[in-house]
Amino acid sequence: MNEKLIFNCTWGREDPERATLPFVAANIAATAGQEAIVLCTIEAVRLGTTGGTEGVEAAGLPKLCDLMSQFVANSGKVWLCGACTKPRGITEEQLAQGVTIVGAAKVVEEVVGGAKTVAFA
Amino acid sequence: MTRTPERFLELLASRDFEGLAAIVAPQARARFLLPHGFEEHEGRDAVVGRIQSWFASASVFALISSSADTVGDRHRLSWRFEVVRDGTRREVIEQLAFLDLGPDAIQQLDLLCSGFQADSRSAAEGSDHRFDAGTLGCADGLAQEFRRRLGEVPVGESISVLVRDPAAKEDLPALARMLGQSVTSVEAYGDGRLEIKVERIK
Repeated sequence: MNEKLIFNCTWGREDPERATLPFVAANIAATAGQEAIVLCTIEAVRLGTTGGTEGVEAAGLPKLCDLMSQFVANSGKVWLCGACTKPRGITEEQLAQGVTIVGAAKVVEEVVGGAKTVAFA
Repeated sequence: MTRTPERFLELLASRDFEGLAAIVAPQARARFLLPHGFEEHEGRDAVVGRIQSWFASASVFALISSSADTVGDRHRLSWRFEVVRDGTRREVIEQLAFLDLGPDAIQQLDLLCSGFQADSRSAAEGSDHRFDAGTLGCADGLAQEFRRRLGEVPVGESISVLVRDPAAKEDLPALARMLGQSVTSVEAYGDGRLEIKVERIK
């Protein structure tokens, strides 16, 4: 049984609150021992690069760089949408720790296998 | 921006000789140690033209493996191709090259060549389906093309898919599994490419 939880994040540093919230939820899941993944699409893919979360901070929420480090230390995974990294010129060499570039088929396979997705608009 | 040595490998593997010429300096020099002896060539057209003469007419031309590294300031590349030049006989050829780069193009190319050798290994295996997906990824048709190529493989035989796109490396095994096929091996090359062997089981 696939028990993964996939949290979608579509915003980058242009909207720190929207960028941070999926990581808050995913980190709670990871802390609770759940297999948690943040799936970054659109501008959020930049968050998965080295230094990509530096300075991303919303009032009342933890700094995203600290949060992501904690999340990865809690065995959380960050997936970047390959169709979004490619046009932005993001390569594997630029990825931060715990971050992987994946394609739609990988996500579809997880969902077909029972993973649950949590959407953040 | 892809670095010049990696770009050289990509262009060579896709037999894009015009593209190759664009990354070779007009005054480039080449030294080739070939099975018949030593050759020296000077100038972009002569250098690229000689490379083209080896591979342009092959009816089958597939990259089996390659590597890219540096030795001090020099760039070391190697590649092995599987080729069919006479319409029937499968051959392999391996070449090792050291490149010196100028500000924006290749200045010097020193190359050692194995010559075209009969490929007894693939003949013995009996089946040899290959799909070099190049830089195809999930949003530009990899899934459709993979499915089409897989359809050409008889049940019980395998296809080796070479991918370079980082998302494709995660996607292709997932695609194969969802199509009910079996991923039998995944091999990573040092240059960032991945070869995924898929057996068609239905």
